[in-house]
Amino acid sequence: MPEPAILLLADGVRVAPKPVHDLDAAGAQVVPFVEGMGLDSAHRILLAAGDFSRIQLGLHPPLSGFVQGDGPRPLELGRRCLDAVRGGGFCLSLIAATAYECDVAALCIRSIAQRFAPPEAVRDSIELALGEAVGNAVIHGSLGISSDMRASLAEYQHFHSLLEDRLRDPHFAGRRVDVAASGGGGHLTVSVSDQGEGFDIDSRLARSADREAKSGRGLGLIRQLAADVAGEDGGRTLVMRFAW
Amino acid sequence: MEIHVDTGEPQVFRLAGRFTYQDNDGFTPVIEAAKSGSGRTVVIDLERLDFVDSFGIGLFLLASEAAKGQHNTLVVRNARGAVGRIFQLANLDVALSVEAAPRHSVSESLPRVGVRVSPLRREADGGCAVALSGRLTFADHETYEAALKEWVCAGCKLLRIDVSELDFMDSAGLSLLLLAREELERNGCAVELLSPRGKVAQLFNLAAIASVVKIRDDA
Repeated sequence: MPEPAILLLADGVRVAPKPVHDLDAAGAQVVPFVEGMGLDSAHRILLAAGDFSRIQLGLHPPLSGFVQGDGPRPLELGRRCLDAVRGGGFCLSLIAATAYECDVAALCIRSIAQRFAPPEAVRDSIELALGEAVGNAVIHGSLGISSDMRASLAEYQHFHSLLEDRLRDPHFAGRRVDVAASGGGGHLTVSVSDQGEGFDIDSRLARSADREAKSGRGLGLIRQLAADVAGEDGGRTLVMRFAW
Repeated sequence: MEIHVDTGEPQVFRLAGRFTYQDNDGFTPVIEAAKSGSGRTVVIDLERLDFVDSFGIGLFLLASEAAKGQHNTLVVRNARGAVGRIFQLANLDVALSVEAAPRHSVSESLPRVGVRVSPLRREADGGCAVALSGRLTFADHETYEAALKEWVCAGCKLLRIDVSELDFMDSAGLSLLLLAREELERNGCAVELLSPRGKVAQLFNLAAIASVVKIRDDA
């Protein structure tokens, strides 16, 4: 049997047989994490509870990513995550509640800077675009909160209480938000995926935001910051490309 | 948790690791120092503290009360990451004398920094001023909403929001600023944003925000 291309190092989390079978079929094998294990021939992703120090460990070489393994739903790992890792990049897969709590854009930009070394100006643009994309994926995607709820303080307070409710509801808070990044030679592709209901990204991309708008600016900004942007999976994935 | 003590004036206690309900005895020297003598300053440095639970928070407040009773000053400095976040959420930056952590590059600003909001200051010309620092994003609603309510209630004619120490902002953060402007203007208070830098300045430019809010650069 050929050596699996990707190993998911399970650190203190159990994965049910079906996700293990699905991952196996996708060429990723779940193995127990052992400190100091010498498996340099394979790409390795840390699979652990959503804890800051573990997330940071997974995001930096020699590891190729972090997948949160203690969510309320069965583990699912998107194709983009595995493809990015196979292509020499990294992925981060968190449940929405964890993605809300830790600053995903700040976490990922460190890993991007270390792996792909974009110049500072491009790095700033990537961080801004990633911040927008993750914010949209968490709030409007996985937590399922509509984007036009913040026009006044009263609406905003309603928005805030709904947000708190959704963060406590495993149905929403347990949905995943994935970031996958790969590239090289002055190019970087970053995708951000959620498990929400999806929406029509193309029509939203075509719309220009009102300058005084208090919501709905994110995609317009991403369009200005990235060399190219496209929606996939019925609006559940945003793919951004950067070049330098 | 480990505690290292730098003797001298001021006395500095350096906390490292995780401060939880298991550390009651370990913190006793800090409380003793806070209530000994009078007119002294005691510093608690949290640079190497990774975590604090509500029990630990309670002990910080206890030390603060002990210090006040003796007219001593207790200064908490370098709260970062999860510890800084908990201090903010528990509004401890108001109850305790908390010195802001020094600014860091991206590589050190993890985990979540969030936004810090300074207390509102009344200026000589009758205006008011606040300063934002850290990172203002979609996840900072709670901190910001509390600050906004305070600003609206302050009854100023002009509020200057200094953003020069803000490292990062997303469009949700921008929306929060616009919301503040709208609420304050409805209450007869004009708003100015001062000295955006780096990524924040880039965001302001991309969103053409200067046509909506007055931006001043005092540098």
